[in-house]
Amino acid sequence: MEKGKISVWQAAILTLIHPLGTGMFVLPAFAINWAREDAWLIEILVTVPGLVIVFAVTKLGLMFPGQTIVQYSETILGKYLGKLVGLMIVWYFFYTGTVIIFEMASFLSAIVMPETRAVVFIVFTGIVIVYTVNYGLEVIARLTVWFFPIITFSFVVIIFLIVKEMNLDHLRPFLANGLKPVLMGSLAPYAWRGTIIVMAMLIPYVNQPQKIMVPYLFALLGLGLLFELNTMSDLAVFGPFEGGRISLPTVHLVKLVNVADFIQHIESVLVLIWVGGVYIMSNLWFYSSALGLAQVLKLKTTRPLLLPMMVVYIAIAYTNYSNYPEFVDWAQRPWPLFALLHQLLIPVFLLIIALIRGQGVRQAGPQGKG
Amino acid sequence: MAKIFRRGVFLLIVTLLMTILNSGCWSRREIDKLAFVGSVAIDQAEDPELLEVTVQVILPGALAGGGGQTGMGGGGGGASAGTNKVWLVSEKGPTVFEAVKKINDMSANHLFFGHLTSVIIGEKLARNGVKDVLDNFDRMSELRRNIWILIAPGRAKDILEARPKLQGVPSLAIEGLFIHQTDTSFSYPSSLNNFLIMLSSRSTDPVAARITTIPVGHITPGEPPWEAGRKEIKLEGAAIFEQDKLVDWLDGRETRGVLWAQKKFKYGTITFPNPRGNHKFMTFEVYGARRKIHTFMEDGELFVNLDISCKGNMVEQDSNADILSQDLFIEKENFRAFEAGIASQVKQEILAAMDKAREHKTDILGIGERFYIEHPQEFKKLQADWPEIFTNANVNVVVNVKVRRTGLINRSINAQKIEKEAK
Repeated sequence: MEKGKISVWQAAILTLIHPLGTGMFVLPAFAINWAREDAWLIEILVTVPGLVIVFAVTKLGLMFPGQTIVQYSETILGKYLGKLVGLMIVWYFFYTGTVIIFEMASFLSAIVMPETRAVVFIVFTGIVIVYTVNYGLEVIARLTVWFFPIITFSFVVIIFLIVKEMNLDHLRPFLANGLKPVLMGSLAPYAWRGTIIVMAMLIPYVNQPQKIMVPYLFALLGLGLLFELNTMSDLAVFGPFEGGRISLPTVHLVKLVNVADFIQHIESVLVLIWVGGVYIMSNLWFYSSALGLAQVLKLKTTRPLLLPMMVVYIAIAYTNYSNYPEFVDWAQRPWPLFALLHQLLIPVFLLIIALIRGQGVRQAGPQGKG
Repeated sequence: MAKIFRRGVFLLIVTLLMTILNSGCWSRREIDKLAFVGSVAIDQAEDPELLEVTVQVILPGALAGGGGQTGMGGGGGGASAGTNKVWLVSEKGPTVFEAVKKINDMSANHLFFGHLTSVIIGEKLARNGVKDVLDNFDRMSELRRNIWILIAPGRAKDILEARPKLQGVPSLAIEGLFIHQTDTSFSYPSSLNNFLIMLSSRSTDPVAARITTIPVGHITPGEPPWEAGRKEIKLEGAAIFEQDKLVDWLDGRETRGVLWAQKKFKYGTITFPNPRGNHKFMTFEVYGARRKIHTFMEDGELFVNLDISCKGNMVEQDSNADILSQDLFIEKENFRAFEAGIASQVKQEILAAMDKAREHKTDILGIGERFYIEHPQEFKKLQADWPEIFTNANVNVVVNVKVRRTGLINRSINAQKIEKEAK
């Protein structure tokens, strides 16, 4: 099992950065398509369930020190029901990971290398993931901390360069069509923001779990800020109708960057953000699913699971969707519900049961401070 | 030891595999095997089912030659090579992409659209609708959304057949023309992105740039005789659409009216009859403009208040009356008269554009979008008969002008010697 320890801020940066790579490309189109000129509200709105997740996961992590969500679900719910919930969470991490790999492959074949088949990207990323995950959490965390400034810096610079194309009239009027389109549009963005649930797998391996709350909140809000900037600039540049019609608005946004015929054609920066982000996310989620499965099966190490799991992983990633529109449909309809169950309902449910049954360490304070 | 050795071998194999597989040689395209498409012209073929797509491929040497013209002071070579700078090729097909692929069959190099700067659409096709033609450009992954959309009266192919003296290649010339569009603002900068935003919006009808050819009637001494048939290209006015169908053209003044109303007017010159001289004119150069717009409904009628403020310099003034008097004291009367003259000119431009919009019931000024921002619920009720409501709108334009500088002189030349003697 995992021997390494990471710091709380490493865990926070991992949690912050991993959904950025995929989310910043696909989310604005979903949000704008539903909510039109109110799309900028969505990222603010989905912070609310995010806060619930942060609270539930932190509380559970402190009540059951040294246990991941897979382990304490067994502690709370008993052997059979607990293992079932654990397997559900493992499947959630595993399946979502395959979707991310598919997304990356379809992006690369659509925008960067149109003649290369998606399976090439899937298989090679898979091999690299097994290689990285084999070395454990510390490696992934350090890699992420190294990627973090590059990704955020280039992201902010891109937004800065596109300011002159923006028309803030596209953000008005406020809530003209009521709250319903905004809520419908916030489903997929919620599911992306809810990926911060991955912290529930990391808390036992953090060096000071009692100090996790502030960095975790930082991850939630920082991610929200980056997504918000992204959605707002897509909306301001493309307007409420075009922004929802283009499949990857951020790609077009970056292609529009032209500062005095001097700074232009900077799409390669996007590929950096995309590949870096997807690589971190798929690593982390594959790691979480392998770790979770090993804990459900009470194995001593994750190593024997990695290669067989990766074979299934690649197979699912390759065969799951036959085209990109299928993915778009999936990401907007079944996936938010699938995500809602595993990201929000299960942790809250576990917390309530644990509190009712009076399990776990009730007062984390004295031990933590002592 | 054996473990370290095994690990070394494994790493070596991984590294070698990566060099082979990740270097991206799979679908490589060498630059000398690409044909860079600078501009595409699309016309309706004689058969109404077919499109005639003309592709202008910039020959690699042309770009180097273009640099030479400015860098090395131009030479005989640069000018005479003008005819060979591009390869112009047409093909017919039911869709744009089909026609382009047919051209690929004639081209030894792969047609590359990553450096496309403009799409020119012929009048006949534009009158039948441009939506379906633009679809392919919208989907293409190589393309940027800041390419220019232009409408040509007559055939679009004629534009690409022109040989502008500077730059030599129409697609490069068009790019240059748009960079200098703000010098006069007599034409409309319509990028694909802006065009599609207008096309897909709730009520705004699109406006696109209009491009024409101008024959060069005579040749200057020393130029080769084939220059006589040469044509220059010119950006002039704009094309207005009802949804995606071309309905009419705007002249320069009306185009500026649209630019003012859409908050896109930044720089430009305004020439107007000089209020202080008979049959004389004055030119004012705008270098900054702001627009505020307010819309409201009252008694079933739409009111539009446009509040425009602009500042700029006086660049030419053909009379003896001036802002500063003989004694270098400010002449308030003249000052006010000049500002009022500029303001009324701006107002006329906007009202001219509005008249054209009324005539065709196309909301090219974007008033509907504004009304939606200010009164969303009311707009939803009125949306169905918006063209009617918009047509009967009361447009009220208020213009504030600030004359900042008068150039390097205080007063115009006073050539009336007798008067001076008398003084």
